[in-house]
Amino acid sequence: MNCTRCGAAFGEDVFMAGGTDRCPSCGAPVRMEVFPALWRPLAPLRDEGLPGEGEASCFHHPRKKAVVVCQRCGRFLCRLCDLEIDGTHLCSACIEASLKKGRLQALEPRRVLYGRIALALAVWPALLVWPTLLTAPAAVYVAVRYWKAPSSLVGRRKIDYLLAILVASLETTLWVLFFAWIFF
Amino acid sequence: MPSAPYKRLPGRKRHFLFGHVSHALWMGDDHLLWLQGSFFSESYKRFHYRDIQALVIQPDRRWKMQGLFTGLFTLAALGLTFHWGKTELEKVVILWLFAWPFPLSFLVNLVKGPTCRAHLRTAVHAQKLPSLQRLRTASKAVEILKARIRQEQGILAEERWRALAEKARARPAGAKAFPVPPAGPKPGKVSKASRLHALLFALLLVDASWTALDLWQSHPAITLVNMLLSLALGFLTVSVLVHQKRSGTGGRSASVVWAAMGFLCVVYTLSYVHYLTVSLGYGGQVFNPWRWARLLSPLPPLALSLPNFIYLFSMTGSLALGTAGLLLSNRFVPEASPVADASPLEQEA
Repeated sequence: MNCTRCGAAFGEDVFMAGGTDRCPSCGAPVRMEVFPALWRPLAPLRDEGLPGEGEASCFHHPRKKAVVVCQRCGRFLCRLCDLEIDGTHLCSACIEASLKKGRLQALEPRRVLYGRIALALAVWPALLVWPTLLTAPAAVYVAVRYWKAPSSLVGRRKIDYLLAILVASLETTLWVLFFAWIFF
Repeated sequence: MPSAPYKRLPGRKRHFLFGHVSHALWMGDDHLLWLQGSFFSESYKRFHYRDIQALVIQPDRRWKMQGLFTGLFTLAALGLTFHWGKTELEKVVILWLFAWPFPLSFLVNLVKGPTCRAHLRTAVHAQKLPSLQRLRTASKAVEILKARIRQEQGILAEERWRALAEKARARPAGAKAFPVPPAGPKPGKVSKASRLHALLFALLLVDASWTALDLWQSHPAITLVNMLLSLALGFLTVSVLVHQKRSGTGGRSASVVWAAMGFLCVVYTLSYVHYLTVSLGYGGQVFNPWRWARLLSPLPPLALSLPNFIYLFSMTGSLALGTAGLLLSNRFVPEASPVADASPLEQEA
């Protein structure tokens, strides 16, 4: 970790002290809150050794003894291949597949906010009026198509979809009335 | 209702450049959620409380810089309001239409208080926390987080803590240190971002000199080159901002680049307002760059007029920012601490 003012890396002394200190290079004030995890040793990876007679071997490393079973695909895994997420033992392939399908919330790195897309399609083009002829149905389509798609982890969930449908429906109704008034 | 019960920590950062609009921190049951939201998507990073090693807050000078520049722009805007507005009504209209953002931003900056940079450290990397950009908010958030992390990790006894610290201090030079990731280029090597910084500051000085020349010499070619220089400055500033964001460059020179961006925005706005005023005076006529340069170049340098004010403002601003940038920029990155792979406790074992 570097000092934001001079770019010098903080030495151990600054970390050791905790509390408020100064950068040893430029003297800029810095507040450190240090926790016991700083001193915790990393757990060594125990080698389970070669599989004995009648013992299962790892799916990916046949020369290693299996210690656990993937709880999704059932493959035998050695300690190296075992990935524990929220108490569930999984293999890397299952994690990748789950991430693609959006089934592993604990590891999800990104979410697309379809509700916001639908709302933007319904609201922003209304500033120019005429694009809503196309974007209002598009907003309804996006809102209905992705209604069940996972939304923000922390924010509002369905309100964007509902607002988008409401505004887009209103716009579509106005267009229908406008055309009815012109042609009939 | 959200499936994971998250509670938002104080602090939020919103900006509209480069597509990212917000940063925030949310507290979960067993982890801290770092959220970066853009228009239509959100990116997450999770830091389990048991893995957080340190929280670092460092006050910076952005507050002072922002205060200085918004204060200057406030004075300039109020000066222009009283210069242009002949009647009370005109003054009010100008203030509400044009000048109000500057005093408002000055006051908001003043009320929000000093700025800082916050980082979170785990065994494998350090994560910047952009949402904690004000010292007061950051302190509040850190207090909440500290309590939660201590709940998870416990508190190390004072004696034990001191013993570990003494042991680490007593380690001979060259021994393995904390796992500090190497940041930026090697010592003595100038990074691309630093080169771009230097180029930008040099161009600001060239712009200042050229504006002075343009002010005293009435030739449309000089005025045209001055306009092109201003345009080039805008492109270069955006490019430097993108580079420094990608490379994570911070510090004084980065603040000067942001100040240059704000300064150029004001210059462009003033120039645009001037162009509109002149264009409306000529019955809505559109000027090409050459005609515009011919129109501007014969102006007497000492006359009290808006273009001369823009010239003087642009000249002094470019000179101040270019000089400050060149003086303050750290072209050589200081030596980084040795990188290691073991914590003191491990070595003790």
